[in-house]
Amino acid sequence: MTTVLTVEPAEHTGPQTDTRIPLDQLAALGAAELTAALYRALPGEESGQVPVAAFNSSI
Amino acid sequence: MLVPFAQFVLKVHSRCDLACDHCYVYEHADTSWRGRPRAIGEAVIDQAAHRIAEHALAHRLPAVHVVLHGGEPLLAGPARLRRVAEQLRARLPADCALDLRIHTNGVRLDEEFCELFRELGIKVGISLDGDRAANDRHRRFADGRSSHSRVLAAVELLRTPRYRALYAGLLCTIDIENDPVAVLDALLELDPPKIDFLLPHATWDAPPPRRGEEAPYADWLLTVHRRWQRLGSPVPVRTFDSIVRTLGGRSSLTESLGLDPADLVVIETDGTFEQADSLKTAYDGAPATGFDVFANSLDEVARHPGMMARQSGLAGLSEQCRACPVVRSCGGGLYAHRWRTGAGFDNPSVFCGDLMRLITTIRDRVAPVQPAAAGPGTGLTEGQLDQLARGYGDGATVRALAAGQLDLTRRLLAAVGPAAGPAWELLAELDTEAPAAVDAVLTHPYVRAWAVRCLGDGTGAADLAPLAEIAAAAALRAGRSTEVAVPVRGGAVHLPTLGRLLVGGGGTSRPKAGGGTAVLCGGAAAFTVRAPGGAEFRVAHDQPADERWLPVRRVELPGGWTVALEDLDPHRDSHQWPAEQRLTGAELADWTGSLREAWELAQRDLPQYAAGIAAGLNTITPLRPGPSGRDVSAAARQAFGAVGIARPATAPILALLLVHEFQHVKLGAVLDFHDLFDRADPRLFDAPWRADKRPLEGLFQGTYAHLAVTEFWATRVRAYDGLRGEAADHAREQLARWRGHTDRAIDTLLGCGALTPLGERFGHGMRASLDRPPAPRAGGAARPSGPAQPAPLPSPSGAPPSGLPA
Ligand code: SF4
Repeated sequence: MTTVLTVEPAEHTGPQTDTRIPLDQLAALGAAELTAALYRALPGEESGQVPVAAFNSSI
Repeated sequence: MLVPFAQFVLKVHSRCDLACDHCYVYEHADTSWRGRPRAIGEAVIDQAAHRIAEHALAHRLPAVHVVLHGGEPLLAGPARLRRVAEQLRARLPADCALDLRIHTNGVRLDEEFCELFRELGIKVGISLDGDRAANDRHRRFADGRSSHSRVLAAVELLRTPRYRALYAGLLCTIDIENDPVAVLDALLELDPPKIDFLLPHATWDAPPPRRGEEAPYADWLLTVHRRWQRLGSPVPVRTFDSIVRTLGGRSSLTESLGLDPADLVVIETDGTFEQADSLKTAYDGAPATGFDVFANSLDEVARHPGMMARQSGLAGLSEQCRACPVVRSCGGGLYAHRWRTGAGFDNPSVFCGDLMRLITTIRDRVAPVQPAAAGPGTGLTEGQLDQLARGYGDGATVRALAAGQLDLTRRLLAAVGPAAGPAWELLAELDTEAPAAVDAVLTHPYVRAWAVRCLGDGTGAADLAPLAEIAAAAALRAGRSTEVAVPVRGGAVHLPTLGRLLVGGGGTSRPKAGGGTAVLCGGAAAFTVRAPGGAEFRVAHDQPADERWLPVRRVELPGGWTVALEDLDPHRDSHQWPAEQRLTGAELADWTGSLREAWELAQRDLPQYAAGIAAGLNTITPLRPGPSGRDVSAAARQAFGAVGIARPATAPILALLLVHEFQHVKLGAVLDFHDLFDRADPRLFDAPWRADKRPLEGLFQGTYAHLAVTEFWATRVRAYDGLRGEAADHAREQLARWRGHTDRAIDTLLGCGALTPLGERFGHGMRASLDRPPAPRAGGAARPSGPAQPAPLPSPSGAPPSGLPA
């Protein structure tokens, strides 16, 4: 049991990513692009509405 | 699940004043127009409005979309069109918005009509095939005259300031003989708010003209796309936008692409309900439902097999489409274009080659090029995916999942963090100077949970204070001695992954409740916090817990597993059941003892699960005991690396809860980056372990977890080999029960038709593990863990409820 403060970075146990992109570079992509790429991971729209596509023969 | 209709195509006139030779109403297979009244009658108008309103009320629809269509709808005349609009508005529930449009060839559109539409709020879409030469190819009067100048005059009217708001856009049917650039330029010249290009209607029985080329429709559209891109995408083009949206996982904007369910019904001039209008192209009578507005409700129509078929997403597609790499964008194309006599609609689109080329080329054209935009992902090897498909995952596999999760959390943080100002700047600076320190904080499961809450807040007033806490914890881990402002909430400064310092004073732990700001400063041997009132607190790095300093407590277990008992983090309440308060010393000792025993059992009897737990489960959040002693545990999709558990009575049950919940954690991490099934499939399925039906994700999650439950009971049964008694009988019963449930659920998954190839791999992998569980480790337990005699396992259900929708 560890009951004292452990401030080390825990480098040895942390997951490693091959391509670690700095946070500020990620932020430059903008929230819309970042979240669009993560759509699988984010909760669906809460509206209860199933997305549907429009009638083809009108605009 | 019944998908209610929200789009209604109301045929107000069944004839046309043009004689376009590509028209699907008059020139294709269906001839039902011949027997229909020319114009819609008053009784049909009123009853149709009644049915739509009834449906909107029953399904609490926030909006309905009604398209006045034909034939040529202007032939219905102003009085009829007025009646339709007025009846709809009068009957719809007050909180249901009405989007009312008319789609016309424009020939008769004059000021009188425009005034009417302005008064009634009817938007106008126009069919126009491009420049004069292009338009004249098909869109002519019966006597061969061009309609072009009449249509242009109509568009000019819509472009005047008085009517501009009515102008909905231009719809262009493709003819590959037309010059694509000239067509686009002619349309853009008319300054439309929106454009779409339609493939000409065709089927496998009547394929489109191809000039001997492989994918001429794709090439035509791609030429348009290239020009449109070069011009800076001056107006939305529905087809292009739908492809980009579906490539990014969002919904399509048109029924001709994507997997979104159809929510559209057609009402003919005589009041009969029909399916998608485009089906007229397939065979005579194809769109018929046999229902009409007088005898049938829209719910009845929604249950029609033809309607359901177009709402079942991936499962409703042909085998070739289901295995297609672009199916999420293509969706097998427009339903009607799949028709082949003999095989029905169970085919790819007759435009398959075109759709494939169009989608893949647009994908490559719009793919981000900067390395910083490299997409998120798990980087799992095939071998690791195979392990996960079988329900397992060794240390390296789960570390790969964790790396994907860290990347995901970093991206979410980058989406919400910049608004936090100085705290974000500090974190970004630390991120390059001391990346391991930052990542050590960001692997905390509840960082993602918080970031997702911020994203979902939608009010623009998300609680960003936790970002300062994250930055402060990272600064401490990085050994920084700069001052960092941190919020005081509930009289405490919270440092995720480190602990909580009670500094007193106001504030509540509720988000956004102000408690002031403290100043934290790190150091080599200690850190200090200056509270808002000026009081200063010092915490030495080797300082044990006291009445002010509450460190996060970690249990170190054999085999390299260290896990925090998280009873401090304000965001730990992310599970289905309420979180327990700070554990007392005695409760902590109980937890530690139980964990040691459970872990010993898991390592020995379930090594194929234990290895992944050691690598990826860094947090257990104690939950409050369940109602009437029920075992309670949960995993949360937005908190990778954590499980919530109310400490059960026995260590074996704790082992069971750990492996069960960690299955959800692993599968959730796979689903974050991979499609195992059609996410839009609206169906509910029997889950053998529940009374209610479950959506596919819940069924998949439950099956994956119960595979581990089955293996747990198999090890118990092996342990009791040859022994009699209540506990042994209980274990045998549980094994039979969970094996049966899991087996049936795997059957349901494999038979549902909505699994992706990877999903099928998981289905078959789970089946293989269920049929051939790995042998216990050599020298491993032939005897149950714990005291000399197996502990009875008083779980009422044998498998715990979970916070995931299993
Ligand atoms: S490209 Fe062809 S195979 Fe793929 S989904 Fe579309 S129609 Fe089906």
